[in-house]
Amino acid sequence: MNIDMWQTFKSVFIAIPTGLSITFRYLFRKPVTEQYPKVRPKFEDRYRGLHYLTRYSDGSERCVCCGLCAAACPADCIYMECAETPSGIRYARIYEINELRCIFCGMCEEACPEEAIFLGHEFEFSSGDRDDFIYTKEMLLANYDKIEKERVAKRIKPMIRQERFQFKKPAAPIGH
Amino acid sequence: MADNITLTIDGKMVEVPPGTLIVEAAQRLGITIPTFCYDERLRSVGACRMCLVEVEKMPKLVASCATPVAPSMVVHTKNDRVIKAREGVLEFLLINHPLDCPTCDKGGECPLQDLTYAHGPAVSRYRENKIRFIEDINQKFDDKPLGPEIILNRNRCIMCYKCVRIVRDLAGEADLGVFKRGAFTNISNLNEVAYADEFSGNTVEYCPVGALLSRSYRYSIREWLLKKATSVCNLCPVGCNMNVEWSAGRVYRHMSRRNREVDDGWLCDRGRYGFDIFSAADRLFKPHIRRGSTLEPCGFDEALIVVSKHLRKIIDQNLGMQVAAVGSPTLSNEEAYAIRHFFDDVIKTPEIDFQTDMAHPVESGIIDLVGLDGAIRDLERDTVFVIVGADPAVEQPVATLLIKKAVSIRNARAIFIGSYDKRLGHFPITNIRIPYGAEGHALEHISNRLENKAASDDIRLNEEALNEIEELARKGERVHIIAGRNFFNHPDRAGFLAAMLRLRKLANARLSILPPQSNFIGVSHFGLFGDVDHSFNKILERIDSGEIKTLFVFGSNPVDEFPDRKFVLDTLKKLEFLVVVAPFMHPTASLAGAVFPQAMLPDYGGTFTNIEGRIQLFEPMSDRPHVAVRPAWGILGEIADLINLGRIWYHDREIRDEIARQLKGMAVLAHMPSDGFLFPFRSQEELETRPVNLKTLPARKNEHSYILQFAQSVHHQGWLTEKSNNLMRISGREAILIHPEDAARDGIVENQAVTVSNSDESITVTARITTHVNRGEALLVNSFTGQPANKLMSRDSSITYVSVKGI
Ligand code: SF4
Ligand code: SF4
Ligand code: SF4
Ligand code: SF4
Ligand code: FES
Repeated sequence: MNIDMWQTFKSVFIAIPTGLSITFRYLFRKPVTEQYPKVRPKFEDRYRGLHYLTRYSDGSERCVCCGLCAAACPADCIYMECAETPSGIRYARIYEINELRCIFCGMCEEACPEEAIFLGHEFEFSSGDRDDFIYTKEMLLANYDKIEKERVAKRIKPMIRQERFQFKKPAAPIGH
Repeated sequence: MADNITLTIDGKMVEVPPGTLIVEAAQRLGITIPTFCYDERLRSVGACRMCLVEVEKMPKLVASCATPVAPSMVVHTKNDRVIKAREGVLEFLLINHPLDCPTCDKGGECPLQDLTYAHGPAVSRYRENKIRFIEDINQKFDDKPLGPEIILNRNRCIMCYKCVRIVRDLAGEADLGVFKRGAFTNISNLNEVAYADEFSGNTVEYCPVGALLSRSYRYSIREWLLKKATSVCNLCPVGCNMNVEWSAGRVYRHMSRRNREVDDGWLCDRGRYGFDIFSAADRLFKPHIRRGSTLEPCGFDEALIVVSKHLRKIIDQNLGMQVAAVGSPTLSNEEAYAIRHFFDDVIKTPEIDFQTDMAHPVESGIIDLVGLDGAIRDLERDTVFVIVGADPAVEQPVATLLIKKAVSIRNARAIFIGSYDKRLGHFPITNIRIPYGAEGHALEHISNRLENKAASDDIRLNEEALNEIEELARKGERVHIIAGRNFFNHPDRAGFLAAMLRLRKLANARLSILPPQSNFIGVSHFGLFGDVDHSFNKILERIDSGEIKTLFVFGSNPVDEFPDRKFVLDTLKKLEFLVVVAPFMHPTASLAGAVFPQAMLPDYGGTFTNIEGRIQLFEPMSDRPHVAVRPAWGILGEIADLINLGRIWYHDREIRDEIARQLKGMAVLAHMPSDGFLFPFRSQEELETRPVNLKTLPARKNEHSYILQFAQSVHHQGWLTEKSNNLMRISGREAILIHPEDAARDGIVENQAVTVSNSDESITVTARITTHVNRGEALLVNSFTGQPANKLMSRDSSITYVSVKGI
C-alpha cells in the first residue's frame, strides 16, 4: 500500500466521520447565529459601543475638560478645548471624538476621573460621509439623554452618582 | 576661608563649604530629597517638613532645608524612619487638600502630585469633613481673585510660604501675607489691595500646588499638550531667558528658563504676560498694498513684486541716495545686519537708523558707552547705587532684583537722583529730588564735594543725602552710577554725561547707561546705527526737503514714537513710497504704500543682545502657523532675489555664520552656546573724562505752564504692550501727576479729567495729585496711543511745556 492510498483511507474513514460527528452534534443544539437585523443582539453590560457624555441630575455636564481621556486614548481621537462658566466651573467648550479613528478600547472611560465619558451599547451609526463620524459634545450628550430616558423608563438603578460632589457641610465655612 | 566640612549622607562622603544646607550637600551627591518650601534663592523657612531626614545623634528628624551641615554629621535620607515620616507629612498635607486635580491648572506639573505618587500613602485615613474656604457661597469653586491677574484657591494651598517670600524678599513688596492660625491659616492680600506688583507671575510659577493661578492661563490647556520653544524676552533689555509654550500655533504662556547669569529663573510680569501680543486679534497676517487711497490686503508675492519693481527702477537709475531705512531697537541682531547689508550693498544708501523715538539721536561717542558696566550678576556686589534719572524697576525689572538683593541682604545704599520720586519695593532708599534737567548739576555737587571745591548754588539739594554719598564714596565703597531712559531724552545730554564721567573718576565708580529698549545694543552694533548725520531726525529733514523719496520702516512706529507727531505725519506723507514692516496696522503702517506683516517672537529665530552685551539665541516654534509673516531679513532676502541681486537669507543661522566670518570676535556666533556669550561692546576710551559744561536749567515759562515729563509703568511701555489684553488688564489707566500746590492754584482735584495742552494740541487724561513730583512739573504716566503724548512735543526743543486745565 503506497502513501496516497493510506491518505485516502484516512480521510474517508477517519476525518469525514469526525467532522460529521461535530455537525450532527450541533444539529441538535440551540443555534448561535445572530438573526441581526431581524433580531437585535443582546450585549453584555461591558460591551463598548458609541460614546456618551453624562450629565448631573441638574442637567449640567460632568466633563471638566481635564484632558485625561485624550491623554489615555491610544488612537489620539479626542479633541477638546476648555472654558469657564461665569460661576467658575471648568467645562469643555469643544469636545469631539473621531469615531472612525476610535478603536473602542475603553481607555477613555477608564481614565475619566469625573465619570463623564462612557462607551454605550450603540453600534449602528454608519454613514456615507466621513464628517458624520466626528461626534461633537452636543451629539455625545444627546446619546446620554437617550440612554437616560430608557433607563428611567425601565426603572433601572443609575450606574453612577447623580449629584455633583459637594463637601459635606464644611467643618468651618470661612469667608475670608 | 573656613575649611570645608566633611559629612556622610547615605553612606557616601561629601565635602562642602560651611553653611551649606543638608539638601544642597545631598544634591552634590545626586541624592534628591523631596521638598516643597525649599528654594535655594529664597530664605529657608522649614514650613512643609517634607524634607525631613535623620541625622545620627539627633533625637528627632530634622528639616534638611533649614539645617546647615556640621562636621562628621551622618545623615540618612532613605531609612524606614524617614520614609514613614514623609508618608505622614503627605497624609497631613492632603487632609484638607481638595484633590480636584482634574480642574486644577497645575495638574500634570504639580510637585504635590509627583511627590504623593513617589512617597505618599495610597489612601487617606481621614474621615472627617475637609475645611473649605469659600469665597462666594453661590460659587461651586472657591477661587478668590487677589488682583487683576492672580487668583488664589486657598483650599489647595499647602502653606509653603513661597509666594509670601517671593513678594517680601524678592520683589520687596508687602502685598501678600499669612492670616489666621492652625488649619485656618491662609494667604491673602493685605487690606484687600489688588495684588499686581511687577513680579506677581513668579508666585504662580513657583507655587508647588495649584493654589495660585494666572487668569490668562487658567482653564485653557493641559501642560502636557504644550510644546516649548526656548526664547528670550523682547520687552526690555535684560533679555530674560524663557520658554514660550504653545500649541497649534497659539501661545499659551511664558515660563522662565533659568539662566543663572541673567535672570536666575525670574520673569517680570511684562515679559510673562505679554505673550498675547503674539496672538492679538488685530495682528497683521497679510501684506497690504495701496490702491488709490485705500490699503488692500494682497498676496505676499504681489506685494513683493510692487516693492522690487520700485527698487529695480531706483537701482537702474542709480538713485540709491533717495532711499532710507529705519529699524527698531526691538529687531534681532540678524535683522539689523541684514538691513544694513541690503541697503549698503544693494541700494547703496547710508541713510539707516533705528532711533525713531528720539529727536536728538545718540552720537557715536555715546553709543559705545551704552550698556551695563560689567555683568548683570556683579550688580549684587555693589554697595552704593547712584541712580540718576533712571527708574530701573520699570525699565529693567529683573536686573533690578539684584539691586534689591544688594540693598536687602548686603545693606547697600540706593540713592535715586531725579525729578520725581522712585521706589524700590519697600526697601529703604534715598530720593534726592532735583528740578527737571538738573541731573548734571546734582552730580557736579557731589563731585565738587569729593574734590573739596565749593559747590555752585544753582540748585538746592538734600544736604544730608549728599553728605552720605560723599562719605560712602570716600570710604571706597563700590559705587555704581546708573542712568537710563531719561538720559536719552535729556535736555542736556552732553553735560549730564560729562558730569557722570567726572564722578565716575572721582568715586572710582562703575558707570552704566542702560538702554530703554530690548535690543538697543545689538541693533546699534550689528548695523542699524547711523550716527548723527544719518539719524532718523536727519532722514525726516531730508524727506521734508525732498532729498529722500523712499523710506523703509522695519518694526518701528515713528508716528507714535517720534517726539513731534505733527512733523512726522506731515513728512511721511511727502514720501513717494513708504514700505512698512509691522505687526499691526498702526498709524505709520496706514500711511504706507506697501505693508508687510512682521514676524514676532516665536515666529522666527535669531539672537538678541542684552544690557551686559550677552548675545542670546531664541528659537522659532516648530509649526509656523503664520505663513506670510517674515522677519526683516526674510523680506529683504526675497526682494533681493526678485531684483536678481542674489544674497538671499533662508535662515537666521546663515546670517549668523556670515557675521561670524565678517566681524572680529564674533566667530562664536556660528555655534551659539545655549546660555549665550558675553561680548565686550563697551569701549573703554570713551570713558575718559571730558570738560563739564552744563546748560542752564530750563525755567518755567509762566505761572500756569508745566514742564511735561514721561514715565512708563512696568506693565505698559507703548504701542506694542498696548496690544496685550493681559497687560492692559493689569496696568492702570493713563494719568498725569501734579503737585498739590499747582493743583490748588489751577483748581484741579484728584481723579479729575484734565486737558493737557500746548499752544495747538491737547490730550485728555486723569489728574493725580501727589508730592512725588516737583512744583511746576507734570508727569504723564502710562501714556496710551489713544491720547498720543507726542502730539504735545516738538522736535526743536527737548523740553515740553504744557498747561493743565480741568474739564
Ligand atoms: S475608546 Fe479608546 S480609542 Fe476610542 S476614544 Fe476611548 S480611548 Fe480613544
Ligand atoms: S471626559 Fe472625563 S477624562 Fe475626558 S476631559 Fe472630561 S472629565 Fe476629563
Ligand atoms: S495642586 Fe496639584 S494635587 Fe492639588 S489639585 Fe492641583 S494638581 Fe492636584
Ligand atoms: S499659595 Fe502656593 S506658594 Fe503660597 S503658600 Fe500656598 S502653596 Fe505656597
Ligand atoms: S522643604 Fe524643608 S521644610 Fe519644606
